[in-house]
Amino acid sequence: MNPTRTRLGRSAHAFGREDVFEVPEGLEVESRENYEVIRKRVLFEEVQFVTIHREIGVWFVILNGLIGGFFLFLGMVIFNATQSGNVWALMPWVVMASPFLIAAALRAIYGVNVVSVFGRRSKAVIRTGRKLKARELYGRMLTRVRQAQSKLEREVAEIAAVEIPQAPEMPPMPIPESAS
Amino acid sequence: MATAARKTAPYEGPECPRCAILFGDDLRSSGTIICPNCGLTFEASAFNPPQRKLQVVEVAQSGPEGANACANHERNTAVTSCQRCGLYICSLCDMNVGTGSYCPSCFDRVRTEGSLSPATTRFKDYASMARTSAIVGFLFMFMFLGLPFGALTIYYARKGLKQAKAEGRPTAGIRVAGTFGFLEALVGIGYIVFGVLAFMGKLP
Repeated sequence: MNPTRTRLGRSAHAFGREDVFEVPEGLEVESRENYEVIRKRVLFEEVQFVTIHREIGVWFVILNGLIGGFFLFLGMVIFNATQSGNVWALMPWVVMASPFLIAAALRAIYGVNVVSVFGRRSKAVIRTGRKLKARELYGRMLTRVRQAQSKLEREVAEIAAVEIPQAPEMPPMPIPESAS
Repeated sequence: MATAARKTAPYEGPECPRCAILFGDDLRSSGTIICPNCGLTFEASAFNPPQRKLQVVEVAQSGPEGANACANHERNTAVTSCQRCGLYICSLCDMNVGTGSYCPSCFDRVRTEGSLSPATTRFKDYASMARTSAIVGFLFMFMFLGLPFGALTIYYARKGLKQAKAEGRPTAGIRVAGTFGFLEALVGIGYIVFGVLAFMGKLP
């Protein structure tokens, strides 16, 4: 929607992927599921809680380990069945298994850094592999939230300071003669 | 399955980033927090955002010359008029998303029609559809499916280009998919011509 937005992070899960962008008034989260994009915003002036933590993501490690292990297992079965003794016959399977095994190992060792921004009505989760980038993002989010909320506080105070003239009190309605 | 259930669950407020249990006002604080549910730690900063207040002026307060009354709230002074139906609206009814003021009923209609782009929260991702269609067409080109998938890719790429340009997103990927679609369609036509000629026995 906004041409001035910058991507802060992208994360993929089993059912789709999620992109988080920074826009002047907050964060824009785009979730893609079945070729449909669901867009929501977390406004900085409504943020209640910002967190940072590091996690491994057990399912990521298990799934990638299983896929990599499956390719290696297939290679071993074929290697044993042919009884060729040629180790090079295993190579295509090792090549296929290695990206999954490397991804699982890297995630198990280094984990992933998660910055979560919780607003009143929505939340944004930014995942990044680099610890320094996550720290920088966390600091940036805190600064932007503080700026937006102090600006809003000033606006609210200005509105409260403006005195609206009270409406003159209306004289009581005369009681109709028929009622008395 | 548990992940899917968590994803579709409505957002209820700040929660533990590790186990997603709701964090009420009493649990929210700044510093290192230990979640009472999962026992894991995380670093957090809590905020108490001020509530945005609208200044609503009543008709009686705006003086004898007065102002027009809001069509929905007769006691409130109108601050603007709906740019679609022209109804006078007060600051409570003013639905402005940066493209002009609308009254609540017009806003609902325009949003449902999808013609109010800043208020659109759900739309088709034509760029991904074009990419997928191009890949599937390329893989099944030998089965005479190049032409239908090529045409589909061109259609999606055209829509995706329009969407990306409106949003200021890069268009290179969509252009590549569109080119692939065009080539697939050409190869598809070539296959069909070749098949017809072979059927008629006019091949050299």
